[in-house]
Amino acid sequence: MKQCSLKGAWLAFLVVLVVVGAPVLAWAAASNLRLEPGQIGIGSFFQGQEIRITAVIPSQAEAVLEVRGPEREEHLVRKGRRWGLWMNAGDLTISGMPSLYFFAATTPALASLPEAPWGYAALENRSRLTGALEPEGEAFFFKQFIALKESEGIYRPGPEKIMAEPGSEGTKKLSKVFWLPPQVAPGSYQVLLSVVTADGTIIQQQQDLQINKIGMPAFVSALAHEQPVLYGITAVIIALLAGFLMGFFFKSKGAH
Amino acid sequence: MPLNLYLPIAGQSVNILLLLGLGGVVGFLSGLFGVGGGFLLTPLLMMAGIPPTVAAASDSNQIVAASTSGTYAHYRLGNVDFRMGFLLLLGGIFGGTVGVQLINLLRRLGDANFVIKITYVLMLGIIGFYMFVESLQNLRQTAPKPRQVASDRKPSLYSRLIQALPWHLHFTKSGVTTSPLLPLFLGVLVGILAAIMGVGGGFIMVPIMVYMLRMPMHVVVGTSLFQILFTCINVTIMQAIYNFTVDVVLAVILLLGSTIGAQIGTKIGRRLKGDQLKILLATLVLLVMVQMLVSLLLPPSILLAYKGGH
Repeated sequence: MKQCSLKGAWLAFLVVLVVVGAPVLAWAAASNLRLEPGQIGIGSFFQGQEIRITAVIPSQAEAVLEVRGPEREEHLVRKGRRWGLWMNAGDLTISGMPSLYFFAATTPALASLPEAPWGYAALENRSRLTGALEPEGEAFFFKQFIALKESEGIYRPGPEKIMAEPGSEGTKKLSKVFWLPPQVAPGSYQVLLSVVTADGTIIQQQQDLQINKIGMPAFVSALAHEQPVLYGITAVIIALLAGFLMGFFFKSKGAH
Repeated sequence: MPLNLYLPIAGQSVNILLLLGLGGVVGFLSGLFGVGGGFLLTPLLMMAGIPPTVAAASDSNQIVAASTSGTYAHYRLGNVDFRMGFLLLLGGIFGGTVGVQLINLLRRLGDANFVIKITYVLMLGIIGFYMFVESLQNLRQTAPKPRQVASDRKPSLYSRLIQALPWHLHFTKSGVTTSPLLPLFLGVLVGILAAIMGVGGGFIMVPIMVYMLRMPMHVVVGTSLFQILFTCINVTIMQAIYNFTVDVVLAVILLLGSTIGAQIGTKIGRRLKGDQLKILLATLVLLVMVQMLVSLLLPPSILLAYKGGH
């Protein structure tokens, strides 16, 4: 009798899985996340770039989209008051933070989901802040770091709104446009789609977005880093020539 | 054609007209007063969103162009005392080396930033105030004072010290006869201060040439530019090699503006009296001092900044 009820429970679980879970599992098996464009080139006249992200998710699910820049260690100075004057009062280093962070959600409620892997709270958990933190403490300077990044336009308080419309066969289509500002650093960016199912399960998909310097910016950057002596001397020669040329130009004009 | 241009080292897209305008204003001041303008342009570039380290290094590069243009213009007018300039430059290089070591020592002691800021405010305040008051008094004098008989005047301690120095030389362009030790020593002093303050030192060098070497204002401007040219060539190459922070695209746009500005500044400077030039420079120096003092007294909106700025 006991064995029979156990079999029954398993059978019921499998039925639930097939009816409810199968569309989610089928969705998870195929990548629905699309980026337009798939890569970005920073040329001489780069003024920022729009990226359009689309995805298809189960109709009962909600979703969060994140754009994360490459992680890097940031070296900072904290301001402090000494003898009544505001000045640099110590060094700080923060690691594990993306160079850019935007996020959007189908519903604002997702922003306050406990233990969510997105948003500033999740970033704070993954980051490491060291240096002259006292007496204000780590949490205070993390907030200051976010304020610094937001003032540059490369972090945005979220979530922004993801547009959703009904799709076919129990799905919905998502679309979101993010504007990447001109100061985006080159590197490998991640676009993360987190789908939150009705039972609270989170399934993630990821696409890489490559941002590279091209043309003149690429040439100048490579020369500056690979041949710094040649680059420095060239910069001085250009400046000397420009100075003399302008001098000659004004001299000839003055003669008339 | 888009007006924004991407700066490859700064990693920013900036409006070309804004950069041309900033370069033009600073070049104009450079030609007018013989100052490099670094103390003015670096903060302005930072306000335009350029990272501090890139702003300071690229600024040095554009000053090379502006001071070449300005030195050349002043050379044609016979306003460059090369002999005096070389002595000040030699002293400046030595003083700069000493100043860098001094800053390293202060950094180890933990008070470098305080010393830098206070030095800035004090130097700018003292120089600006002295120049302003002295020039104002000269401009207000409607009639020349009756000259005292030479034998009645008691030479000042400073004059007696200068007279006591050995190997007196005549500097024809400056119309000054003094020991080469004096410009060498003053060059060392300016070099130390310039290294501590992280600037070319033009705005300290100009008053020192006027008040301590007693050179005429128009020769001071040309000679100061000549000295700044070499200082900034050295800084540009060092920044490119050790910090990779020279943005040549940024520098080229700035120098287009600044070289034109420097020529205009030089021409206008010729039409102004020495005291008028001095009072204008004093006002500028005092304004920068007040801005710096305010930034020291008012709490910043964000208590974090990227390392590498002033």
